[in-house]
Amino acid sequence: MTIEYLEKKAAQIRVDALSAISRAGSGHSGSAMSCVEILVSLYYAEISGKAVAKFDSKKPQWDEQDYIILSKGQAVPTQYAILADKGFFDKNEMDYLRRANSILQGYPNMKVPGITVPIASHGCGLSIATGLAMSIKNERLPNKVFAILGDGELQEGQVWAAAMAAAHYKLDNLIAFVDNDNLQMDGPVRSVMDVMPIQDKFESFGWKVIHVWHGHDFDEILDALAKAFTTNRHPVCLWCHTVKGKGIEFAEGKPYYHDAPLSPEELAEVKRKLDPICASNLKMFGNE
Amino acid sequence: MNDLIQIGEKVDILKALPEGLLNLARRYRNLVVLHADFGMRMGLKNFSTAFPERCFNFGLSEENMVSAAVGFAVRGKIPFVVGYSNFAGKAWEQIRSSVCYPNLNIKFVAANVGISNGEDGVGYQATEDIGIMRVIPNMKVASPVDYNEAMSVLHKSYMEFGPVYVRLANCVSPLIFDDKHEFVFGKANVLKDGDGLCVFTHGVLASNVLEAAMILKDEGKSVMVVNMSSIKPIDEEMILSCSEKVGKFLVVEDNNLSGGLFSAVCEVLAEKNPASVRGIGLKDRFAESGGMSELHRKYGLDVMGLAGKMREFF
Repeated sequence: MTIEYLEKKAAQIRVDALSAISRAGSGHSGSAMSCVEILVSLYYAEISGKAVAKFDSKKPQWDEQDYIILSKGQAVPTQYAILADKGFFDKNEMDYLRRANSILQGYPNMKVPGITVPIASHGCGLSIATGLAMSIKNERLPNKVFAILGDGELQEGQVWAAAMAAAHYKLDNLIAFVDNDNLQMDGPVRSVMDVMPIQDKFESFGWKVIHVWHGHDFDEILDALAKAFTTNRHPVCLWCHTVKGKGIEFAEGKPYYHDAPLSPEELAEVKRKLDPICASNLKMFGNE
Repeated sequence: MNDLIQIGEKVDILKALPEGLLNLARRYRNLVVLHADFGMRMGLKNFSTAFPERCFNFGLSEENMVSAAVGFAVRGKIPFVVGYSNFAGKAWEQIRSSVCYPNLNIKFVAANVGISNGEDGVGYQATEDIGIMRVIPNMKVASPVDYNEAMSVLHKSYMEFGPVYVRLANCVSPLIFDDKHEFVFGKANVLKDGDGLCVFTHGVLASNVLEAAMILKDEGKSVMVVNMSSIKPIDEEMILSCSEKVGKFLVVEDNNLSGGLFSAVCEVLAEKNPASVRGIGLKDRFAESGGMSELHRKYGLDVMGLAGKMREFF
């Protein structure tokens, strides 16, 4: 596994997810793009020759798997694109995203092979991850639990109730990413309801916080994960600075695209840029 | 059929919670208990001493506790999520979307429901819980009438796959059933036969209803009393067979009639065999602080109040 391989995968996942959202005519294009590198790191990367997360597409209910919980469930087309690529289900299913009679619901649903917990609305993912991590610790097993939270989601009180419980029960098998793209439905997070200072908040709740300044840089994400894996007796928060709509030049940092699909013309423009990367090993993003 | 099931000694219904959970935990290793700071108040001390690794206190964070139960269920545990009074209302969205929608095997036990927790006042009285739990697809709702039935409900809740909401009052109540009684989801029991008026009830009020029915019996009026402790699924067959036999119904409950057993019975009758139905309970209103007996008297749920209403409607 090389960084070039991960970047190529990220480009492919972007195209697959955006195409599905565009075909569905509804969905959260911007939100789905800001967490691509985080999810690709979890599903495809290795650290010291070992897969970051343990899973088996042939055994979606495997007891020994690690759990990847997309608490910002609106970004699930990205996770679906990865699961399809990994062989959890047929890629053709992506054509029916958000349509009646499809398994691919608008938010993560346990009927989808590879989706291990239900996420029906924002704010509950960290609590579910906490329960899973408590249960696993109780079973004295080494499975890890990864949760990916949005930054707007931190406005939900339940997130902090979960943060308190995770620290109280010393859940060092729990790693939560905060996908901090600074935008939510009504505009900048800081003007809707400021969630800063994220680091101080998590630290004061008893978490270890690792800052990922460039949340689209695989080297940085993997370095942070390596540090998180060696942390004992504390849950870890990976605070990742990301860009809403990353990879879609005209949508980057624009609140409108938080919950909008791309038009066929916009999608064609994105594909013109990303398709060559999917077909080659070009480096897509440098360190901004 | 017996004319009347004998009313026995008085036993605290809520005692079934720690005792029932302890019995189950000794037999089934995948049972875990999640609670929100009311463990001691609900008698879970023995449970947490016997099974410290299977009893988790979430502090005062009901939404977090319910969602965390999802994590336990995904790992194959069967969580009994125990909460105080109205906790299901606090975590309704989590129960609906994260538990019932994926049909996870999680059990909810609410203690001190209805107006049995009278003195604390409206904030700690669960009087709409039946309505808000009953409307969620996949959820089953049970409201046992006494300690023995509560023990059986807890056991059946464990055995039955899927989400269950169990309603336990905080009061000493006469035993209506013996310890051989077996609760079955979807099955009602005739507590007293009769042919002039049929009364459906659940929970702690069953003994008051039975006593009131006996007063009417002495007056030569025959009242049938049916225990509808399985509120969902509801025993449609029983309701319809009663409607063929009697034709006039009274529903008695310590809950808001809107959404409660009254609504559930009316839904069946309206669709299958329209009949005259009246309800005694909280009629689109809140209660207030007060002792349980005091409140029962005020809202016409005491023996004399019920006898009066039965007489009026007979």
